[in-house]
Amino acid sequence: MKTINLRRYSQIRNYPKDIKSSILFLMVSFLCSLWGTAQTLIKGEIMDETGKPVAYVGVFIENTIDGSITDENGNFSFTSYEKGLHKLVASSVGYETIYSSVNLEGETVEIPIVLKESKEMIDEVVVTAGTFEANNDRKVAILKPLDIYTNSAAGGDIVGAIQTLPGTQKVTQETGLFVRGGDASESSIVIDGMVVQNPFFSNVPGVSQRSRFMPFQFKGISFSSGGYSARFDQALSSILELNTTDLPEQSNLNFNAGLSGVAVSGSKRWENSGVEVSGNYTNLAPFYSISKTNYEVYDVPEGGGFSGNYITKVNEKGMFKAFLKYDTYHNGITVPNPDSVGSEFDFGLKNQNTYFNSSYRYTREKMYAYTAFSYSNNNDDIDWGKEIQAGNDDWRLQWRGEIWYSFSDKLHLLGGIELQRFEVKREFDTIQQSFNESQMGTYFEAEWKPSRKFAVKPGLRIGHSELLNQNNLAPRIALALKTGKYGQISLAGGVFYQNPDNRYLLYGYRPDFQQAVHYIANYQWINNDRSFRVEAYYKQYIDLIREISMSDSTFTPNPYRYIYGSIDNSGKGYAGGVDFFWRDKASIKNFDYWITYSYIDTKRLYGNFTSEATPDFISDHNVNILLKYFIETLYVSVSTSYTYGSGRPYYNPEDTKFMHSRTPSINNLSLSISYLVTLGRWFSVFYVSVDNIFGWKNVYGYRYSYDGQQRYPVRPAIDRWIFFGANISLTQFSKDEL
Amino acid sequence: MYCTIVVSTLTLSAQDFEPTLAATLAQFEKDSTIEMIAATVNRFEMIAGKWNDQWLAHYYAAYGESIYTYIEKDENKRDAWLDKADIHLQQAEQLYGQESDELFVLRALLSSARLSVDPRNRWKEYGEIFDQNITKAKSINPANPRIYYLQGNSLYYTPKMFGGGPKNAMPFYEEADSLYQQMNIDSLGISPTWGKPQNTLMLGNCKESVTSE
Repeated sequence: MKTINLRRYSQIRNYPKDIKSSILFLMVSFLCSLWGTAQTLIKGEIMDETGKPVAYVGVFIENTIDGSITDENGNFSFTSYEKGLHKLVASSVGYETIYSSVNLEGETVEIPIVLKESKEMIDEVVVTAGTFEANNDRKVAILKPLDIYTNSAAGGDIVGAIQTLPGTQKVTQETGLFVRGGDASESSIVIDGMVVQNPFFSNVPGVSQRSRFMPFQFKGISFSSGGYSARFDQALSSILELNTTDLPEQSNLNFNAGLSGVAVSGSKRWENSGVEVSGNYTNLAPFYSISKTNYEVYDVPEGGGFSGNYITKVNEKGMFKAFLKYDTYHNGITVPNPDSVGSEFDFGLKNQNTYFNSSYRYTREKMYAYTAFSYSNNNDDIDWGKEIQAGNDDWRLQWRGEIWYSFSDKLHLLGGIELQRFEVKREFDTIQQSFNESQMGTYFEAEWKPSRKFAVKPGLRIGHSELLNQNNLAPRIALALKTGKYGQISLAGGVFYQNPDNRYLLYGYRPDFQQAVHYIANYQWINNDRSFRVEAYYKQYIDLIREISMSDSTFTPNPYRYIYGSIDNSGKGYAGGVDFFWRDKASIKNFDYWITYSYIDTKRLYGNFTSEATPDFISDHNVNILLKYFIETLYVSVSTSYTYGSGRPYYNPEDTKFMHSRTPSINNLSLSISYLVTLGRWFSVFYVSVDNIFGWKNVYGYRYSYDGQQRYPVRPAIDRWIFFGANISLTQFSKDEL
Repeated sequence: MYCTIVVSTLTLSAQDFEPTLAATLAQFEKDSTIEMIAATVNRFEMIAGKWNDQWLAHYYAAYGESIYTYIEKDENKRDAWLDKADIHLQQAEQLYGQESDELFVLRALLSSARLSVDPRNRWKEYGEIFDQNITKAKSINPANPRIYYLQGNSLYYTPKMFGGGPKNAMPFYEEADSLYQQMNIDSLGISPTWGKPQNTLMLGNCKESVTSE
């Protein structure tokens, strides 16, 4: 091959020696020069706005194939046989396409072009004040759902994972989510827009319980620590919004076994629909056999449950979901008697919980309509000190309908109605208490984005409570401004109403709504895998419930106290603070860490408080450090987290100032390791977690005997726990289809 | 000689769709640097602009753009490339006007390119779209080798612990290989034939890692 080429090359080089060739050559040269005048050379340099040359920009005459790309130095040149006025197109991904008029007359055209960065490359502003979102639908997010599942401090509990975010307090003696100075009653958990009446396992005096939901049931998690949307109310502090997964990816079978029991789940996927079912048997005997508890567990928690999930697409545009879950369990534990400090008593519980939720979403080009219905029922049979029979019986029905309409890219409007009816019944020995409540809410929310850099979201909610015979009007607003390619400022605020705590309603009191006003300012910076967020807030509490007959001498830090005398809405308070969040998963491959710090200053006068004070569930300073490393060669994932909380207030009758004493600080270091392996066709995960590795004896407060002479520490049920288990799953394989 | 070369390139560049596309495709197979690939992809786009009514022009613009995303490093830009590819694919589908295995295969290619931008968070959504299109393509023409080539790629780059890896991918590449062998090249050389050299390369990689295990 090479020789032939060389020969041709030499023939051409020697053309003048050959007369015939030379004549031909002259003719060709002449003809070519004629054509030469007909073609135009177009050249130039392409730079961005900062003057940096841009490489590989496509440059061409529109609707022709005359064109080229720029080189490393931003230079281009090409020729065209086109004549007259044409459009020169310069196009590069990441920049706006530039059209320049060029006159092609044979004269060389030299044209410098400056490219502007495309708007699409600068992510659109998103209103974020007050909210941590873990969502796969959005490209720019501080968290992804996976981060929630793999959080070592969470112990597989969705609320446990949320408690590692800034603005929350981890509380061991009471069940619930404590956010920015708010107590457990001030947070509401919603699934697909529907309030969950009993999101946690039933309360045991002095021992916090985990939530009933596993993280992987949800595709999107949005945690608002304030300033939330007009879609919701009845929460003075926080809304934790969970959205269930859509169609299962494919059919699979999943087995899970661990120190807490066994679970089986499976999913079946058809083209447009899917079913997921699961069943579990729970028995904590193995768990308690290796972790020492501070309280005696005389009846080891044992139970079972099942859940079913049906999802189907309806005519391409609609999506129907139905979800049913049933659990039952019993347990018995000897805990400090809240009514008699210093003594312990046996608390036995048998629980049954049913939760049903169904929803339908219809989506069209410029609108969607959503409607959902839910029903839940919870029943507790309580054996109080082996003498007294007690119990709870609650149910809730809820319906929501809403329509979202997009007038243009810049303006969307959402309107909806929500109806709820629920009953709460308590029984304690011969005392029976109950109430029925019906609530209605109507809401409107607009989102106006005059540019990609600025968004405003005003909202209004009108609420009605049948029980209190009261209406409320709650305006909300949130806005966001993009300050640069990666940063943005958001502001949010609003008025939030909530019914008085159930304990007062059960006693037959019918006071007014309690109220909170939020002011939030947030700065957020996200650059690929690094994010920083700082948020300052101020929350004003108005119309909190006070038990006014309580005098200084009768204060008792007992949540099970008997309430008598009159109550009113004269309580008040405030919470102000700053939350910091920094996350970096870019610096070291397979290494991800985040650091959060929150400072809070809060005081309130409510309940049976004798004067304004910081409640006993508040640490002024909270630090959380989470490290995750994936050892690629071994398929081992290691995650560790450290939490610190400064000392918490407690009631000491000797104090001259109410709730003035502080506990020592609270520390916890946890570790979890998981190993991923495929055994045959089974994908398996083996995991082990240790909470509070060093067994630090954390004290969350003290309770004093009536004479004030003796004090007893408030301690978690377990100082250090170890958990291990395995999960194996079989996923349908396309290999068989070959 | 000299003259005919000039004349032929001239007529070629100015006139005929099929030879122009065929030459560009041949060039794409030879491209070895980022700059060369960028230039050829740009040429595919110019062809789609000039012969706006040819479904294959849009088909190859979408194909070139999705291949380019594997070179591009910026995540946002990779998505922007795929946005362009989506538009070209839609135009190709409209112009073709009926279901085609090649168009489903291309849609599968685009979804796996989307997945590769952010695998950890996108595997579920785009894995599903990938599977659906592969199934549809297979139902129309199970003898299309690109179906198995793409399935092989998808498995090859799936971590072994999730059922992927060279060993699991190999049967797909083998299937694709035997179908590529039987493939007849049409006279114009512009109907989709891509993937053969890459498949051979990947099959080689698989064999190597399976024997070294």
